Amino acid sequence: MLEHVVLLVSLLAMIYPVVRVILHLIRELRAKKLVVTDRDGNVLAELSTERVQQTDLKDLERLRERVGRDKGTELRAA
Amino acid sequence: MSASDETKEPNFEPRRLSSELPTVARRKGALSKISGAGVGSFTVWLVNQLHWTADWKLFAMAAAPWIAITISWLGPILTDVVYFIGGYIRAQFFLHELDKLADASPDDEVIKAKAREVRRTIAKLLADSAKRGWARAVPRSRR
Repeated sequence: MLEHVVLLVSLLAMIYPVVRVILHLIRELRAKKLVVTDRDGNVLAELSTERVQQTDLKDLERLRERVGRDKGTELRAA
Repeated sequence: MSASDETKEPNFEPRRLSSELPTVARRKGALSKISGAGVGSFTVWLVNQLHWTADWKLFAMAAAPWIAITISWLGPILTDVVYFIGGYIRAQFFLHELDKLADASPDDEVIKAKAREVRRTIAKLLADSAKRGWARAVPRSRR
């Protein structure tokens, strides 16, 4: 009985983080928009295919400059 | 300190408390420890099931905590690698959609130019995160 409890607890502890990673990946892959964040998680810019017409080329240039300067910028799904 | 040194940005990230980390990084650390504990107790369970001699059982059970901390050390690194690959695939989907949009209106030069610029920005972001990918494994002084 007790050994089954040990097995169950250890299996759950191994499987739960993997499930969370997979759920995060699914959410990431299904999202329609991408956001650029700095290393504190603040949103710098939004990129989406529906709004390509509205994007400003100067904004993109500034964003690229900032990506080259800052260390922890990330591309994430929104 | 000369003027050029002051304008130069430091080439390392300052050490931060775990409570200051963004949520994803904090969860990554916590869940890695949980999975490490799970692998450690699974090792003990497995060794208990096997018919090993008492010496080897003792050896394996003494090794279980070390296996646990190894897993919880590897966890965030592996998660970073997996998330990086996922983000790369996501960006490829995005670029594919962008290409379809640009192909749908072949005469519109503005959309083509904008799509090209967005593509350049994404390529730069991906290259930047690829460069930083293994920074965690490099000692702070040599980063």
